[in-house]
Amino acid sequence: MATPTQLGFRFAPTDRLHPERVRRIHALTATTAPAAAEHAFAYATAHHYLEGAEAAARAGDRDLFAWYTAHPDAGAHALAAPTAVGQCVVIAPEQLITSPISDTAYYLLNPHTGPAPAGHQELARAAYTLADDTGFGDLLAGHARVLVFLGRKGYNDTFDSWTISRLPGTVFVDHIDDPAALARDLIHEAGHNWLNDALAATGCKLDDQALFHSPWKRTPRPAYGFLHACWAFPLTMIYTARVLERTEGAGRRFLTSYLDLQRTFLAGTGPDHARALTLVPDPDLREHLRAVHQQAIGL
Amino acid sequence: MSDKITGFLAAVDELRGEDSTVRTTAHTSRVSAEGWPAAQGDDAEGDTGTTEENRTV
Repeated sequence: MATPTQLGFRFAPTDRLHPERVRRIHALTATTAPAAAEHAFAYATAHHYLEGAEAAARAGDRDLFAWYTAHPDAGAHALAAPTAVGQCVVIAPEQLITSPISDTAYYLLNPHTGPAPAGHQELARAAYTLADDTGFGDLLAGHARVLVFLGRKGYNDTFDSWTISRLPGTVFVDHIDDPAALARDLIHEAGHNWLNDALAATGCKLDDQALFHSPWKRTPRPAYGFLHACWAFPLTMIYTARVLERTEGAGRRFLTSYLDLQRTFLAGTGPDHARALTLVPDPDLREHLRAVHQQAIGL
Repeated sequence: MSDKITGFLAAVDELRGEDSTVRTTAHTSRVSAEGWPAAQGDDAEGDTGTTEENRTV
């Protein structure tokens, strides 16, 4: 397989945002990120440190607060394993948490966190490699450095995955024992993290009054959700089209069906997408969003 | 330690500033490996951008 075209996930404002945000987080307790940490890895894990330390502080848990202040990477380096996109933390916690910051369940690295079982680690490594081989290495390197496995599913099951803006660089995903399917969902969720960072880095506050028809939700949605969908789904379409030649059997049928379905959803979004893009003031960000949408429309 | 925690929380509030919004992008998907469109009616693709007071999947 020839090396596929890279989509260009490096975005200068985000490259500046990551180290600055890490510096500000660690300044809270006069700590520093481990010197060897890459910016994207440090960025993802610093937010586990921030949320964990804050939760411990608000709960009055002095021991846990002390642990976080002594571990500005939230213990991530001890858990991390090499992948095609760099060191990643791959975990499969038995229980997630909810809190006043989010009724969506999430998980924070803590003193008791252990690595995912070997089978999960192997699956994750294979998925990161496939994503890298198909042109999405930079995306995952920048925005999916902590992988939280949720439930194990079958091809015909419903898959859930999500991100939470308080934990950029972390993705929560259901999985099946198929690295091509897992890579699809890693790319989708990393796409959300990419866009959240890009919006923050460019200071873009999207007007939430205008509504756009979402074929995925079959309902009008504000620009934030619509633009997210018109970015993350096209990314997975481009990936799926590229990875199909490496798949066979049930996995190939699964991804082929997925791509066919996404084509029908995306086909009618052109006019609304063009209108939504006018709400994005940064020209480079606007062009990133336009180019990916256009490429996927052409599949 | 109490002073340290108090100072930390004050600094966190300052770091967050007025932006207390927490957004979730949740994604649910179902396709049939046996072929679409048989599974079309069951599909529930979606992404949700919400605030902490208004989250749906």
